[in-house]
Amino acid sequence: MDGLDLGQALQESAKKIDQNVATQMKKMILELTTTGSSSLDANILKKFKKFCRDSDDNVRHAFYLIMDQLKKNHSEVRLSASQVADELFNRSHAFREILVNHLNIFLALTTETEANKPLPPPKAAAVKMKSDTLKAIQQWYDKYGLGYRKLVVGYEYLKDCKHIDFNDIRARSLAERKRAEEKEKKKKEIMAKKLSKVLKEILEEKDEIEVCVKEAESCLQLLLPAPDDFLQNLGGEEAPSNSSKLIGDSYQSRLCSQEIDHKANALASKSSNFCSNVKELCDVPNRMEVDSAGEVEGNDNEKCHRAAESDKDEDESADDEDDGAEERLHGLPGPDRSIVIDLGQQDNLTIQETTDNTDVMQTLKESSKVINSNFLPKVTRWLEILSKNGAKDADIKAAIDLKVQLESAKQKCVELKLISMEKRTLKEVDSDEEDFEDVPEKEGFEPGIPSHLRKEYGLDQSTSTVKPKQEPSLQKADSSSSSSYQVSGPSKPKKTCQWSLKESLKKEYVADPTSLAAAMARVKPESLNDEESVTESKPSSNQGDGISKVPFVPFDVDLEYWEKPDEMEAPSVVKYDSLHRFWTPHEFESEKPSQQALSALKTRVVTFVGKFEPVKWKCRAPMPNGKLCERMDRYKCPFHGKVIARDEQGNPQLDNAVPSTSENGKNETSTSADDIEAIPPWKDPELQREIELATGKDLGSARSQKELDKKLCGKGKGKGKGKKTSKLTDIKACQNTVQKRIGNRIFNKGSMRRVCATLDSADYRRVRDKFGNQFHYSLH
Amino acid sequence: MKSLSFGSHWPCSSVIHGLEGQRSGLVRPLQFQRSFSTYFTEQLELSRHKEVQSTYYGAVNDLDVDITERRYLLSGYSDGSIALHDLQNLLESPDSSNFIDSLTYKLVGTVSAGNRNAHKRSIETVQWYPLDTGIFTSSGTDRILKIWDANRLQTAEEYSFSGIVHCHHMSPVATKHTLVAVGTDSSVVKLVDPRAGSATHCLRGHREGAVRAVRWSNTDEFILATGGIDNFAMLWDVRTAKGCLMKMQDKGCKKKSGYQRVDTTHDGSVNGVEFTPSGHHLLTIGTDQKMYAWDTLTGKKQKTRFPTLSHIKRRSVKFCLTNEGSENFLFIPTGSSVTSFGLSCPGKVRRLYGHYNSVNCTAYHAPGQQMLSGGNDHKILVWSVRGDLDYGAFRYEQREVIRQRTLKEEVAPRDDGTTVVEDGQAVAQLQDTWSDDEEDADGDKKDADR
Repeated sequence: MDGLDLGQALQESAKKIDQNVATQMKKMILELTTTGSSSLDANILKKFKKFCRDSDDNVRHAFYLIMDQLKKNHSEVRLSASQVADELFNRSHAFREILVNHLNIFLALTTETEANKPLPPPKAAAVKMKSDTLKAIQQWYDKYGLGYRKLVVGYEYLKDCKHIDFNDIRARSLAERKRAEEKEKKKKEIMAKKLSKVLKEILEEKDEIEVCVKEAESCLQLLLPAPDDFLQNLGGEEAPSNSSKLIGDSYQSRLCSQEIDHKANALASKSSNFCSNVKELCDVPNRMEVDSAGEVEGNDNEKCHRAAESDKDEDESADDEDDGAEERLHGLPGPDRSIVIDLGQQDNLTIQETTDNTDVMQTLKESSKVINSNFLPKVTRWLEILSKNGAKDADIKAAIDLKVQLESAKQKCVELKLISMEKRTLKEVDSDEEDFEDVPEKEGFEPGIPSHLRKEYGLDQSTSTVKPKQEPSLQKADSSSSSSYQVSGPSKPKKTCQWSLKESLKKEYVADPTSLAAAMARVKPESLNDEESVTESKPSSNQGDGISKVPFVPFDVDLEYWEKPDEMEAPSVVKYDSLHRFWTPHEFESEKPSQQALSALKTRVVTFVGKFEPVKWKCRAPMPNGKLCERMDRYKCPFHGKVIARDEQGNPQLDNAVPSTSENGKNETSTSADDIEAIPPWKDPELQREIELATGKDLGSARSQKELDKKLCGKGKGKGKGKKTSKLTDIKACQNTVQKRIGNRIFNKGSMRRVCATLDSADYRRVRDKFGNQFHYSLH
Repeated sequence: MKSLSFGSHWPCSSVIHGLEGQRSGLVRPLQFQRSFSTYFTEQLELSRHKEVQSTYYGAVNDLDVDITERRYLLSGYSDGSIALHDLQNLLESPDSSNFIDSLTYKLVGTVSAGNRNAHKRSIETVQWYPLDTGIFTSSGTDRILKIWDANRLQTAEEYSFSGIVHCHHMSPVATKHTLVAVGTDSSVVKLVDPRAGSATHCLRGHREGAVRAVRWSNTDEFILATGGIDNFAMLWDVRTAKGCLMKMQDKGCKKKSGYQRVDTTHDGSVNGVEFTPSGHHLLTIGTDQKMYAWDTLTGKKQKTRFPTLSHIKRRSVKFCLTNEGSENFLFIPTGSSVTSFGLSCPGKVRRLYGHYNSVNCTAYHAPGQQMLSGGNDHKILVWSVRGDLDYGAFRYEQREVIRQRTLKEEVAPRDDGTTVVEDGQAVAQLQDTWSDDEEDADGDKKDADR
């Protein structure tokens, strides 16, 4: 380049200095320039400068190393190299001298002074490098202009020939500083304002929230007394005794553990208002009795009280005997041993609404709704604002306390399925309002379906007793739609009763498998509904399992020759070679029907269109605002990935039956969920890269790419071995845009040739069709 | 003729030593002068103090210093404008804040591009009339050769050609004729006689294409050398109209078997020709990035191996050759640098870096011991002995003396106090400042004074 062979100069300069130093310097500069970040590593730079400091030869060698890096076809490398150059320029005279000597090359490589040498790809880095270098040159000129003539010449060259407005740069750097200060100031003001606003809000609404939480808590307590209360009572009334206390203690601890464990806590009898396990836990020594007695406990308060009383009695007696003999009699070992009894895996702890507790339930529902939809998001937002804007610790602590309270209340409600119930009914109303008219609830008389109508309703004979627990929505759906109806969705993986012709036919098979015709004949009078479908489906067609899916086919030639396919003949065309009116040849050979025509007759085109099934589930992934994603996608939510089963909080339910839509959902969902949680969708590196390309601004695509890579590597899924460990932005990845890929696909040689061939043949055919039978043209 | 330059090189160590030798009759004055001019020329650097007043016209395409007074610098620009600088009067420019003690060669006359007389397009060549500074000539890509009245800055005469005028030249030694040799896009070299007012001669000999270099001999007024894109350099005697005197061909080169190679001057078009001061040799530069020397009497190639050049483009090369020292130096624009080497010892190559875009032309100004170069960065740079460091030192001393005096006299500080501060700054700029890394300042302030 311009009379300076850099490689040679580099070698020569390396010869002048110690080999060890040279290799170390080279290593360092490589480290410095391949970080890919827009700032230099201070430690390495310091070491590098230390080397340079030793002698001017080292400095010169450093210059050639830097130039070598500047020639790399990667703007991030160049940016780092130019920053190193700037550092050294401000230090060493020798460096200044040599750089100023080759300033034109430096400028060409960093500021694009030569039109035929554009800056290399990562555009953001290139733009930054250009502006930074110009700024640096401005500073150099101001600082060292007196001593270095060529610097002045270069500066004037840039100013006069390249029309770079240095005054503007100078003013801009001043103005930038000022603007940054102002921005900072403004930001602080805004923060303070926000903070005060939030604090004020907290002050205003804290009482309200607390009242609400209190209300919910007390409602819950009314509905579901906590075991602590009982124990407290015990402790209060009883004289402290060793054994009982021990037992009590052990129970308390177990209680704690069980409180955490939902399943254990979820032991509830369907019929009682109260959690029976509470009772069980309370009457410790009677435990075995209770167990043996089963769960036929009283379902009202009094009984509970009685139990508690008997409890007391027992305890007292136990206290009297004081040797644990009775316990042994009851089959209980000493207090130091513990027996864990599996109380059954009952997930659902529900409270049924009765006339007694309607009001309490209602209040609880309301308050929980308010907590869930209003207070919790609000408090979360407050916390966010407080922590971001640097509030005092006390305030943050208070907010956290509030949040904890709210969350515990919510958790309790969730455990009792209050919130979910709310949600479901809400959704029901939402989705059904458009589709259905308001039909009075059939719940009341649903069980009483007359047996002769049972079939019509699609209910199995065997399931004579309809479970009262059946969800209203399903019943409604069943009753409203007479045709076959299947619920399949992630939120409702339950198998429901299903009516179909298939089923009924099956039954007939069982009854009389000898002949189908007979079966059909029997079916006909029995079910009125069947008639259309039966007439539709021809007896000739196979009547397997999917009889309901057999399409209707009109009568045609192939059906006519169904039995004797060999006799089928394609209609032949009689061709008269002579066009004379009456001089026809004696015998004209009728053209043999070609195999093609025959097969054309045989083939039938049946367009199969699947039945449209409306999506009945939502994505329900948790969103940052505390709500759940409301998108209704069949398979995959564009924001949260594959639609999977989720619990009320939106956490993926892995142990749940995975809906049919995602077969191998288990492992995939876990990974995709992790990814989604870790990297927000707007951080998609490809998207960012495209935006960067368009705008020329650094959005940090490199960083997110790195994050993604790291993630992949961490999981051991990405093929990290083949990749180089460079931290630079991958230029090739940058170039791998959608447009380019499409371009590659479209404009590659093979496809072009193919398209050309097709077009040519089309042209040729057209010409042939037009003129092929004309003598004149056919010659050519 | 072994050496390409005058006389023998007398190594000089110092001026005092030389003067002593001259006084005692050991060294002849001419020898002394020559060796010193050589010594100085070897040390040309970008001047720290001198500059040519810039004109902001465009790229500088050609420079010429008149040979009668050696005072005026003529420059032709890419936008068709012409500027005249006075190289004798160096003026201190107080307004220039770029560097201290700056001296400027002032602009004395311009023909700007908007002028009615100016060239419409880029100027390729400018030259002073050899005998007078009242006339100069210019030619360019607008296919016109103009003869100017230097005093009124108006065109005296115009000659238009069918193609782009790549170069023209007037003989520096001619007394019997005033012919201007013109090389254009056609293969015919035309000789314009201003006294006749038209092209009087046509020299046909180049096979095809343009003639990119013409040069009159500096000893014989009728000898003309031309170089064209047919890869040949030719020598003409303008008195014989029959044909060229000789073609410069390397007859000694071995013919490769099976490959009938035309034996040409260069393997690319010949873009520059120049006679050595003695007139015995002809230097040619071609686009094969090589330079050869040819004997003008025998037409044989000299054995001297010149360094490989670079960035010789497909246009006329405006290089210059000093003719005063015992060793003559060439200054050839090669890309953004100027390559310089002596004729008799071409191994010692110096590259002068200063321009920011390609350099177009160089001119040597012997009285000032300086070289001038113009390039595409719109600048004319001055290269002087050691970059006028001596002048800077002299000025510094001067100021020191003044400062001492003012300190002694205890006079209130005058306005030269500012310059002292400036000077201190300039010195400080040339020092290393590693010390901000670590605080130990044990003599690592390396004064890299040259």
